[in-house]
Amino acid sequence: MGDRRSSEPARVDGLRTGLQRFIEGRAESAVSVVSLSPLPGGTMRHAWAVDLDVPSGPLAGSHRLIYLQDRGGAPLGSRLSREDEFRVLSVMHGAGVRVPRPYWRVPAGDASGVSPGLIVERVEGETLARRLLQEPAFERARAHLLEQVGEELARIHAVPTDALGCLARPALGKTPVEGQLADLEGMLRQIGEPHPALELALRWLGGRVPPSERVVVVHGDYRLGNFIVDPARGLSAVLDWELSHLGDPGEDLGWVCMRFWRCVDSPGARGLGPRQRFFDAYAGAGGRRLDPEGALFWEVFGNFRWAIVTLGQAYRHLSGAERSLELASIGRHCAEVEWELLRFLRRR
Amino acid sequence: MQDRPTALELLQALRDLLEQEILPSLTDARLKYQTLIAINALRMLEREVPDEAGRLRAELGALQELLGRSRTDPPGDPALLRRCVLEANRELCERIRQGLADAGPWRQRVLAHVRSAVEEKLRINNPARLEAFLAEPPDAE
Repeated sequence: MGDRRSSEPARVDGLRTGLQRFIEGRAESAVSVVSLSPLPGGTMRHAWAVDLDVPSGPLAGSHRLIYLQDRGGAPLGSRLSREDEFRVLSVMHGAGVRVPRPYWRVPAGDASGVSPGLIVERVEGETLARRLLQEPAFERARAHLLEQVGEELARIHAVPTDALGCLARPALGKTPVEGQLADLEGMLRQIGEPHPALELALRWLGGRVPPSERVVVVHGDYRLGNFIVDPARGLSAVLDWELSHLGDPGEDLGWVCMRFWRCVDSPGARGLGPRQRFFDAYAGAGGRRLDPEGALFWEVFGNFRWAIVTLGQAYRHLSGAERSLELASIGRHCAEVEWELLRFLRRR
Repeated sequence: MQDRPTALELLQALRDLLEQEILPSLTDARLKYQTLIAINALRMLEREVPDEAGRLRAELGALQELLGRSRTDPPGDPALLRRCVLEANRELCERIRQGLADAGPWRQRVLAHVRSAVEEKLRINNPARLEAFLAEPPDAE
């Protein structure tokens, strides 16, 4: 135990020195890492808060940053590489989408000794759904948040895709969702555990694939939890672009509506407001409206995808790729997603 | 037969330790979070361990009926019983994939069976969530 206690400060010091060396190489100045502390949460990555002082050069001033360390292991086959995620962030930032300003990517095997990851602006604010929905401090922000996230999503879906050749593209002759359903089914087969509810959902989805109207940048995990919210200004940044890909805009719309994120009201719980307000804001900012059939399809698709993600997280633990109680526990969430899927399936 | 403490009593003691002594002493936010996950996992086990074999036997019986198989005596060996339930569920999945549950009266039976199997899983994994689900009004659409 003595070893463990003493190794923690040593690890932090090592990272501090490494980050300083890495950033000095890019800031054309000596820099000082004023503070460095680990941030909790996140199954995919270790995150560190980094405060930086740069005395001179093009970046002179103080910078509040976050260093997102890659932990490996993808929840879905389509997860972006660090390089590509950095590119998506840069394109989104350039297009005026509310994202943390991307600073640098740390490539694998960097001479500074820092492990691969991203260094981006640390945007202050709250991300936790429970606090955003309940705490009086966010009452003002709450009143407009659903409209803001609807408008922001329309902005994201309007970003030209040509600068993003790195993103997974649907196969020729197939709608984006057909390829995704095949991928998700492949993961279910690979995991190998029988899930009758998911087989029923797969049959349902396969028989109802809507025609694809256009291909856009899909965020892939657009929901409460990935929005940084300021008590006064509301939506400040959209986080977690590692699941972004090219696909049907309906995918993000259906994902937002899933009850588990508490973005929109669901039969059992209040969210930020009725889903219609979200759809209206999205359409008002230039997004397309979904017909009721399409909205239902994409919500069922989102739940199916989420069910596979929960199984995939547990499988990362079970296969030994990354041993973690947290990942293992996520597997037990699949049952509630199956319940939700059955609710839709019995409807029609 | 094992001496006391029973498996359930040991799990409860383990959870008490984590909840009452370890958790309050932690300052690291990440470790606190991980410990809460551990406590929740123990709660799940405390619900799962009592009569697990009974639930597996009931699921096997329901699956045999649904698949039109003759009801056989369930194996006494717990590992074998688990394998039988898995195998029957695989067969159900295979028939769904073949489209046999796409429509008709068998679809209704499959939906009812799968719903109650999922309900049983939720009773162990997240009974509060199940309560909330069951309290919801049926869908209007």
